[in-house]
Amino acid sequence: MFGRQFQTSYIEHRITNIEHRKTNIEHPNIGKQTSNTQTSKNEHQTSKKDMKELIKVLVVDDEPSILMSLEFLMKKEGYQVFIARDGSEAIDIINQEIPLIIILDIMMPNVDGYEVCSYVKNNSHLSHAKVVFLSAKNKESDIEKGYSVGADLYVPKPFSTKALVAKVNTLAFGMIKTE
Amino acid sequence: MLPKFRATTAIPLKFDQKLLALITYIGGFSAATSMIIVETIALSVMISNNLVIPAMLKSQRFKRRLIGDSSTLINNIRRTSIVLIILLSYLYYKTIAGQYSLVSIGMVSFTAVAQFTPTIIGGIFWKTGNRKGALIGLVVGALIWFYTLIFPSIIAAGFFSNSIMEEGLLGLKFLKPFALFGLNGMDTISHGLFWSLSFNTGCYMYFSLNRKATSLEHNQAVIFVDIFNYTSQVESTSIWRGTAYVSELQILLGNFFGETRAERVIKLFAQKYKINADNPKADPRMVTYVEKLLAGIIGAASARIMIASISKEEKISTEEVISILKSSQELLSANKELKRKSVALERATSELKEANEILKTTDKLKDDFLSTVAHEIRTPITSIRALSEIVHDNPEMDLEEREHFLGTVVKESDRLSRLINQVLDLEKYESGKQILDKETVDIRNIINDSIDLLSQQLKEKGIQLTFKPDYFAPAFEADKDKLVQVVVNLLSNAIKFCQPNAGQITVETHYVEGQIYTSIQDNGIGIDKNFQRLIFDKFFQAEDQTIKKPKGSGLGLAISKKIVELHQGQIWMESTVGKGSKFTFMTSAV
Repeated sequence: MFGRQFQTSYIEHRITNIEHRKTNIEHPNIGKQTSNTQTSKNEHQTSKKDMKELIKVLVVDDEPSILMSLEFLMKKEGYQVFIARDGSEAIDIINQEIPLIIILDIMMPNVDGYEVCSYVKNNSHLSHAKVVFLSAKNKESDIEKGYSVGADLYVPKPFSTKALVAKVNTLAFGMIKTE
Repeated sequence: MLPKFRATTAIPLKFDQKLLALITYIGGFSAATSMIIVETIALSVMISNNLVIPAMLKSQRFKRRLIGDSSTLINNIRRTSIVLIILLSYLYYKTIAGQYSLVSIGMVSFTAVAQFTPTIIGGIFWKTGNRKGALIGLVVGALIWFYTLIFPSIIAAGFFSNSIMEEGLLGLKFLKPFALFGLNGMDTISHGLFWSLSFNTGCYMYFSLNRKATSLEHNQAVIFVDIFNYTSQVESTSIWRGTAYVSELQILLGNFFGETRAERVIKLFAQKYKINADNPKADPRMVTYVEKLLAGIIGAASARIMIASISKEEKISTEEVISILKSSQELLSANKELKRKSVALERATSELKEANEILKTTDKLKDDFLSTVAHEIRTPITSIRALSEIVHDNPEMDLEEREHFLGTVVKESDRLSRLINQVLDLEKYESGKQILDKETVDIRNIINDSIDLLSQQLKEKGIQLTFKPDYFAPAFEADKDKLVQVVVNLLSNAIKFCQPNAGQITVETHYVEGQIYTSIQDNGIGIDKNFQRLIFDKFFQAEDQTIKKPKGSGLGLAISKKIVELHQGQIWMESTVGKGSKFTFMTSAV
């Protein structure tokens, strides 16, 4: 279902996606992830899920297969997901949608990830946005450069899907105090 | 009246000017007397300074006496010598000189002095001349001089039988003093000069050549003859080494000059050269100066000995002087050598720097290559891992989606293995380990085989391919599989960049002057001028792409280039953006 949708722009299918997500929340498998927890916590989780619908995540990568998996993962978590195949497309969407989380590849045609990150961090109306670099450049100097342009997190490729999801969740909810 | 004054007084006497004659006489007489006085004093100084005092200084007993109250002693020596000189000359005048004119006595003396000529000239200009030759030459010359010029006068004075003059010494005719070795017809002076100088020079040269000079003599000679080459070094080298006390120098000077004058001299010298007067140890320059002052009174040799007696001189032997000169000479040449070496070193350094720069560049290229390889490898691995994890963690996925994900995993795995193969391939080419498996091939077969391999893709994308072979192209030696790889690579690039269902690819071969040119032309998107020369570099993929990044490892063209070069060929391309590209490679058919 999502595999097909990734081909098209998210914006067009935003509403349908939200509907999909709603069904996902009620899906027993999602419950599985947080199973064996107290009911209260379950409820709390559910409230988080609801909030996730409101959180916009932008995924930027020039590799379709990676984009595909990231889109799947984020949607499954319940976020509102947007995709971009390069930096300039990413900046367009950022200005339009003002996402909270930006998962950003570095080596891309046209505008690279560093530039996108700098753009985000140097614009006050985007200052709340959290940038996660997801890059195959994993030398010490690359990581340092990533943080120096203002990244909130640097995840080297190849990455563990669970770890990435957990980190993104922490980033998202570290900001939105649910208590 | 003395005979010699007769002539000078004759004229006034003739005119009966007795007073004038008297004045003339007194004038002449005083001139002669003063001449005798001056000559005698000069001789006495010479005798005391250069003969008696040095001889006395050799003995410790006299030396002490000399230092103690020297002025009286020296004066006494001189007085004694004056008396002796006058006595001797009177004796000579009485017994011998009466028979000779003043002129001939002068000539005889000249001849004697002339004996030094060969040694002096040889010493100045002839490096081979040595001490032994000089001594023998001088002695022999002096003997002959004595025999031919002095001996006859002694005979004439009646000390020896006159028969020697007539019959020769011991009755040997060739030893007649005035006709030595039967040489007649010359006046006595010329005769004596001729023989004495001839033998002197002959002996000097013969013995100098005959006997090898010691290295010391040789070095001395070299330094003396080529003095101007060494002048600067001699001046800059402190020859005098040792310690002397100013007070002692002053006392020494006082012995000869008087105490007040000595004190003043020392003071003035210290002022002139800004020497610290409080330093009890004398400056070497001061010691030298005092020595020179003393030399004026007691002669150079004695002055040297005197100075030596009051100073703790570290004796500098001639060998040492020579070695100083030699070492400064060696130093000079060592310096030159050093300069040359440092120039060579500088050159080597800059060469090393260059090499280092090249290495750095190569290293950087390698680093870039490796990081690009790493990046290119990580990308499919990332996809494979993420997609597999998703499929693994989400068993509830619907079948269609699962298949799509798994299909992508397989594609990415293919991409990965292709990439690894190509990297390994390229490594083989670059390290020169790739060996061509040559056979006789026909370019047409190669192209047809390549087209066959890609026929499926061509059909899928609806591309029209035309092959225009040059039927005159001969068969040639090449690695068929490798050339097929090149053509396949170029063709798949062409296919990749052509528009679907509108693509046209033309393959042509031309045989020109022993070379086969194969060109593959497409009507695809073309390549920007800025990137045209970069595209054969490994991992270059045009950055500015209006369409999606082309798939492929980025190594295809780099490998193709290597293969063509291994066949002694070349590969190049022409392209216009929007109109298409044409890749051509040339292989030698010889």
